[in-house]
Amino acid sequence: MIFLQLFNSNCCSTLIYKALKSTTTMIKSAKTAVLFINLLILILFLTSCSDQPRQVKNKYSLFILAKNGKNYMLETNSLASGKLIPEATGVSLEKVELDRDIIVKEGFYYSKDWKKPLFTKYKITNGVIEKVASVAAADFSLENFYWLTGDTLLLVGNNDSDFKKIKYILVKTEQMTILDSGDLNIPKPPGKYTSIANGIVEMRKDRLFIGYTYHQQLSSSNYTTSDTTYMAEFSYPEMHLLHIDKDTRSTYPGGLNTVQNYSFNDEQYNFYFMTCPGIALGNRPDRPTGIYRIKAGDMAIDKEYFFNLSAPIKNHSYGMWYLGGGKALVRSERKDLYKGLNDHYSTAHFEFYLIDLKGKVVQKLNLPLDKGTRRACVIVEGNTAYIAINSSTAGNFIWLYNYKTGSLKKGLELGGSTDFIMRIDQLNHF
Amino acid sequence: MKISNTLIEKYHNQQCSAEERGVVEQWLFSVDEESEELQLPAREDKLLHKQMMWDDIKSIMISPAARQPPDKKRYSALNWKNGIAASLLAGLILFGGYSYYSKRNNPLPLTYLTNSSTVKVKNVTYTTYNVSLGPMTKATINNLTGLIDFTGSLLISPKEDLLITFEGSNEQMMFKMGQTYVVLSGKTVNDRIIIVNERNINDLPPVIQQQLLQHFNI
Repeated sequence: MIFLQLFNSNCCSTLIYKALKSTTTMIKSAKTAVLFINLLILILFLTSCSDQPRQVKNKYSLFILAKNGKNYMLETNSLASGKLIPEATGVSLEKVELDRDIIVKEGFYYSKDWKKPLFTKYKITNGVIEKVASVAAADFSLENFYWLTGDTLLLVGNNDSDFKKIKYILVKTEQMTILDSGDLNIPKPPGKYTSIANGIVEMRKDRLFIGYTYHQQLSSSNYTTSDTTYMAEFSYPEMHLLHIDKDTRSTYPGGLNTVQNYSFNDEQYNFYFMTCPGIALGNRPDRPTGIYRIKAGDMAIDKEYFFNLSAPIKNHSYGMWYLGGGKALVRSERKDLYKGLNDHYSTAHFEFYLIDLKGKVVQKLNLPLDKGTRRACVIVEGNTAYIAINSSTAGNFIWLYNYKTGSLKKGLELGGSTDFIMRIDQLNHF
Repeated sequence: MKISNTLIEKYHNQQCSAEERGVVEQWLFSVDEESEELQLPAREDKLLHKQMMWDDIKSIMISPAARQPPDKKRYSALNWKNGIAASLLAGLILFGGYSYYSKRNNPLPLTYLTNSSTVKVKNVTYTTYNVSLGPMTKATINNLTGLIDFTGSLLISPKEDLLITFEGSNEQMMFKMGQTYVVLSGKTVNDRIIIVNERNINDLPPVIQQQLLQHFNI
């Protein structure tokens, strides 16, 4: 009976049956009996292994906002081809406090809960997203993160009681324990300014850089931003303030890197970051979108370098991804196509540009106009950039851009009820 | 099933099916402080109308002198039944009064909403939508034209598809049933009106998101 159950319970039944049949004919001596018992143990081992659900590791994850307002997470091994339907194979995110402002690493999703003072680690198992563990994150609004060595994660954000302070939490994500937390000694909003915005976090050996600026709330629906980009330098791990660099060539450094990327290091560890004074972030459209640099080995903004992106593109940009060889992608709005903040996210008006950091030249990519104000929509692997495009007329696709050859082609399609591909991430590295 | 004047009349004449009776009784006995308040047009005296309604109730109630001394054993049961009857009657008259005003003031009256708290949110439930008023928010809603004039912050959750226009914005916007919309408006003519579906809040500037977090905890 046991054998029959075993046979029925796994896909290797034919193989096992043949082995068992040949073995039973051999039971004629004590030696063959011992052999038979060993074989039985092996069968049991094989059977028990095959009864466990196999947890397949996927390389990529996609966060989808559907037309009915529901959020789905999809995991897949290829962005290069095929078609996925979120409501068919996606994981519904209805029962978790997780939106698209998340951190994705090695099979796990991390998010600051909307309503609870918790920072939570999630995992998708057998088509269900479940909490793994949480740590306390009281009076904290997550804005940026930085992975230190291994599983050490630095979270930087505002105090959510009045948004006048910048705080940090250092988390060991494997065990989900807090190593350190506190306030960063950055001056509170001076004079007319009402809140502080952190947009860049970068670590260089024992130095932590925090890019920030100040906002002035003008009314329930209006605000403005200081004309200055601030870059504070702290000693790490002491978190002592060492220096604050000020620069008025542009303002609103970076943004929320839980939603979209705004900075990178090149192969020589020159650090580049963009500013976003457009209406969707700094709301200082009189200032240009620019790219700043902190040269390798330096501890301050390079006063000799500034790439004014608004000059050649004639618009403001949000989002920047490094390709390699001094080339990067930026995502730029088209102010002639949207009316204001109300349709900034729903109108397809975004274009992608290949930029040369050294030569300060730009080249528009021949892609459909994209919609969604801010999105983690680019993954770079080798010479290929996977670019998620939400077109109003040509569907939701991952496009493959080879920046060496300039070739562009459609890859994975997101169909069904997909309204926006809100983010794509490298879920596992293998 | 919607509560209508006809349904109330059927209930009063004991012609309702069990299901209809259940719906009416649920409506009559539901206690929801934030549910439909009677909104009177400007210049109408609320106290005066209240008094008129109570006068109507008194006119059809049995006078105390005409009552027989109640059987002590049945006293509490009778009181309970009288309470129910009075509640039903009051509900009928209030509903009738509301319908009367609705018909009399065709087009439908304006709805005035105010939340003068500096920290708390005020939630109001209407037949066709729920609305949450952020701190320091004033709104006037024209229920006929769908025009909303307000300053402050609102969350609107329609129970059916609604076409709404906001004062200062020339566009009529479709607010879809079952979805929630965030609307922000400043006090001056130079202030823009921001209208965004709650599902796209992450597309708003972080400083606006922070304000929504503080006001509505979203």
